[in-house]
Amino acid sequence: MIRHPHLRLGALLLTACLLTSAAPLAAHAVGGSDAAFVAATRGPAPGPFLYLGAKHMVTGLDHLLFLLGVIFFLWRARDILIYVTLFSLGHSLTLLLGVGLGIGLNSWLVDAAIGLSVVYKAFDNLSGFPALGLPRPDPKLAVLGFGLVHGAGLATRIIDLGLNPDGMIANLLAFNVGVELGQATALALVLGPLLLWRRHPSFLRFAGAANFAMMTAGFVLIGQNLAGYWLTTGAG
Amino acid sequence: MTEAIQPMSARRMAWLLGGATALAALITLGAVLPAEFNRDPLGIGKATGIAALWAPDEVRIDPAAGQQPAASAQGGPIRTLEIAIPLGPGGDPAGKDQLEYKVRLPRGGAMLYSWQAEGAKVADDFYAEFHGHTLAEHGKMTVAEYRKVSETANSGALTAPFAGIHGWYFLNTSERPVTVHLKVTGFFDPVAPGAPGNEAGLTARVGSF
Repeated sequence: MIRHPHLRLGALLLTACLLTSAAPLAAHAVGGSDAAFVAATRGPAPGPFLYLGAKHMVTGLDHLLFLLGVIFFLWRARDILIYVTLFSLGHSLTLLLGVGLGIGLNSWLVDAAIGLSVVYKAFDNLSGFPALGLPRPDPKLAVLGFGLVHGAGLATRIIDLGLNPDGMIANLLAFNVGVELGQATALALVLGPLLLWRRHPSFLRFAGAANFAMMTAGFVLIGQNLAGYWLTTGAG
Repeated sequence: MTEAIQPMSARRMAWLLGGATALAALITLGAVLPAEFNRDPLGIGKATGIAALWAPDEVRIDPAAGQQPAASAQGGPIRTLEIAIPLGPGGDPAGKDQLEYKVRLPRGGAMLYSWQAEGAKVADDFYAEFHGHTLAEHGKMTVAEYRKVSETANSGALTAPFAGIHGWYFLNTSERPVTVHLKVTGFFDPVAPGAPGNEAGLTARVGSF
């Protein structure tokens, strides 16, 4: 068999990227001109909100890391579909309910909880529960539960932006559809390289390292958002 | 079905958890806090230059807004300040062709100034921005632009719209070294070398009436 030194290098690079890219990305808000747009919009504007939802998902490292963790050891398309659907179900529920009922949480704390979901999934992938002699919580329930947390994060963002009541339902649904589209795009991008990597023996050798890196990145997300909560006055 | 890594020993798992936490704490305290929140508990931000990434949110105000009275009461002695600021030829890769120098004024504090760029021959040889800002507080600072000029000399007066540091960004755009001779008088306080407004660490000749 032909050895692929580049793949090993690639795995190390991926690990390094996971570690370093977590740091500079601040609690990623819908920021700048996008925020101004949301605040100024009255009435339904499905196109822009669809785009904003997709953009939030594709550029949101916290959501992407969690998704990567979820599909890391899923080998069958059917399983991937089930888990991703559960995740979507969870975050859609809290996104719609949260904005609909106007329940906004502190965005720093919600983002810290989302960081915790990344840590949890990496720990679970490392078989951390049996290693510590603990019963493993049902992984489907866990994905659904953390989906609720991610949705609370999405809802809090939208509420912080001051979504206008005029056309709110339409815009919110458009945002939600955008989130799912963005998630599908992100999955498509991540799944290809992951499937290729899995066929190579280096996958099993570096699976542990990759999940360790993911766990570290999750802890950084927690630290960063707790720092934001304690050190700044406004919402992130 | 879900495959996963074969369970390792509890001891090894505990090490992994501890390691990830320690590494994350190092990244958070060493890089994220200095770059995002202007805190540097470990000093790593300063040592690596990461701390320079942090910048406060700027709140720009229009200095022309808000009428200043023709006559106003002022506090403190009338100071005079003279300083010669040498600048390298324009385009210096080390940035020796530019510098900021400011003085501190209370809100409503007045000063007169005049500067001349010795060595600059035509207006295009030299550029200056006269501006002021508050010291960063709670991640925010108020900024006002007073005047931007491409001239070899300039003079004017300012009544500060807010308490803070007010002064000049000088840029030599000529091919020769230039020395800026700056004279200021009014109810200001000079900024100590190294403090915000005088990062270059210049020492001025300061007197008072």
